[in-house]
Amino acid sequence: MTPTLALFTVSLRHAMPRRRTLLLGLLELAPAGIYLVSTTNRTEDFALQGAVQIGSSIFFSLVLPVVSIVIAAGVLGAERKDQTLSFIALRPIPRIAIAAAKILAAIFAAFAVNSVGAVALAGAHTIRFGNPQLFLGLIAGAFVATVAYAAIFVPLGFLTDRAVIIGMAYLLVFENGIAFALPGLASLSPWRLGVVTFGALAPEVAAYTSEFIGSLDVSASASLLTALTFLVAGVTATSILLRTRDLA
Amino acid sequence: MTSDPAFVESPTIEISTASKWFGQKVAVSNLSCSFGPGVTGLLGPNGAGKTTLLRMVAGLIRSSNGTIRVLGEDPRRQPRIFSRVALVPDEDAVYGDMTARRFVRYSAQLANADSSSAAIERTLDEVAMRDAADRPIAGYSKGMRQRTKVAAALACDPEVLILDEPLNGTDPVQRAHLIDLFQRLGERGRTVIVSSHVLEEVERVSSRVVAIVDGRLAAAGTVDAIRAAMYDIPYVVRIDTNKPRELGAAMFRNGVVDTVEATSTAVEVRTRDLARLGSEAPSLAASLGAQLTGFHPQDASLESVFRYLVERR
Repeated sequence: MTPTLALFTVSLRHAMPRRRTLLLGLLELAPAGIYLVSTTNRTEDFALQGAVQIGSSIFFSLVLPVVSIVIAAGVLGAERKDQTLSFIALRPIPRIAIAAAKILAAIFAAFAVNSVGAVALAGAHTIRFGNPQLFLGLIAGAFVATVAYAAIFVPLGFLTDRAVIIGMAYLLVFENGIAFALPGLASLSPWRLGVVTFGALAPEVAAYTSEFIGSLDVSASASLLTALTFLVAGVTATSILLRTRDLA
Repeated sequence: MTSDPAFVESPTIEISTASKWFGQKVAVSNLSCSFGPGVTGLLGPNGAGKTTLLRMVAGLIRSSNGTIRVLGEDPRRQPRIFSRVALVPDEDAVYGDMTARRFVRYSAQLANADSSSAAIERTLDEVAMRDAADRPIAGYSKGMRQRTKVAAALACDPEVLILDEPLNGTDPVQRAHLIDLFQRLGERGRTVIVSSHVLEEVERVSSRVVAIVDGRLAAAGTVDAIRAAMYDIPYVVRIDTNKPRELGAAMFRNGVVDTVEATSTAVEVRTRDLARLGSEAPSLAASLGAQLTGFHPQDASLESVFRYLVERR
C-alpha cells in the first residue's frame, strides 16, 4: 500500500465514526420522509414538483451542506485538535499528497452519507410512481455539491476550530439568504451547483429548479467542472497551509 | 576537532542562531548547537524551550530566526527527510481507536518502510509491547502509549530519533527498558536526542548533555565536563573521619580547600580542585593519624550542575 493510499484509507475511516454517521444518515432520510408525507394521494406531476422542491430546498440547501461541512471540517480539524496531525506531517509524504488524500477522504465520506438522502428521495418517488427519473440527477447533483463543500471546508477546518459554525453562518446567511436576494452571487453557492446538475440530468424537473439556482445557467458538465475547480483550489490551499503554518 | 562543546564533529543536526517567539514570548533565543551520532540528553526545566526546539528541528514549527539543518536539509522544505528522521512527541499523538499493531503498521506504511508482519512484530518486541498490541490504544496506560509512540517511530528505521520526554509516565521497568533501547540505538550510530526535565533520567540515558534554560543554551558537554568548566563554583565534599576538626584544619592550611565545616563524624569542605583533594586528603589524614572512612562529592550530580546553571543566569 502506498503512503498516500494508506493515509486516504485511514482518513476515510476516521471521517465516518459510527455514531455520527448514523445520526447524519438519519438526517438524510428526512427529505424522503417529508416527500412521502406531503405527496400522499397526489398526482405524479404534483409529486414530481414536490420532490424537486423538497430536493432543492431541504436536501440540497440544508441537509447536504450540513453533512458535508460537519464531515469536511473534521478531517484535518480533528487531527489538529487531537495532535495527530504531527504524526502525519512527520512522514515523508509531500504536503500536496496529504492535502489531496484528506480532501478525497472527506468527499468519499460525505458523499457516502449524502447518497443515502439522494437515493432515499429518488427511491421514495420511484416506489410511489414506479418512475426512477430522479436517481441520476440527485446522485450526480449530490456528488458535485459535496466536492465543492469538501474542497472549501477541509482547509477551513485546519485553520479554525469554528469551521462548522462559520459553515452554518455561510449556509444560512449567505447561501440561503443573500444569494437568494442577489441571484448574481449564486455561483458562489455549492449547493446550487448540485441543483443545477440535478436539473440538467433530469430535464423534466428543470422547470422547477430555476427558482433555486439564481443566475446559474450551466450544464451538468460545467457545474462538475466548477466543482473540480473548487477541488483543485482546495487541495492547493490546503497544501500551502500545511507547508507554511506551524503544525504543532 | 571542534573545541566548543555545544558542537559535535560529525553533526546530523545543525542549529544556527535559531530563535522562536510566539507573540511577545520568546521560547528559544539565538540558540546554536549541533547533535551527532550517539545519545544526547536535552535538559531543561519545564518551559525552558525544549519542546519548541525539538519541534523546530522536526520542522513542525518554523523558526522565527536562524537556520536548522537535519541531515543537511531544511526539514520545513523537504518532507522526504522524514524517511530518515522520526520524532516522538511529548503529547499523545496517537489514534485511540487503533491497536498498537495497527498504529505501528500505519506508521511504517506512511513512511514507505517495511510494513510486513515480521517487521512490525520486531518493532513491537523492541518496546516490549507485543503482548498488548491487539488492544485499542485508548485503553493503554501513559507508559504503554509512550512505548507505542516509540515503536511507531522505530518502524521507520530512522537515522535520527528525537524523543520529547519519552520516559514520562513509564514505570521503573519500562524506563530501564527504554533507556537500554536508546543506548543501543546510539551505539548503532543513530542520532538519538532524549529531552527531559528529570535530571536523573538524562544522566542515565546519555553522557553528552545540552542544557537549555529560558530558551538559551546554558551548557553543553558531558556532565563531568560541564561541572569541571564551572570553576567558579566549588565542589562540596563530605569526608568521613574520626578526626574531622584536625583534618579540616590541616586541609585548610594546605590550601586544598576553601572552606571547612566539621561535625562529630565528618568534615564537609569546599574545593575547586577535586582531583588534588582526592590525592592529598589520604596523606594529610595519615600524617594526623586519622582514619578516612568515606569520601563523598556532594554536588557532582547532574541535578546540582543544573541547579548551578539556573542560579548562575
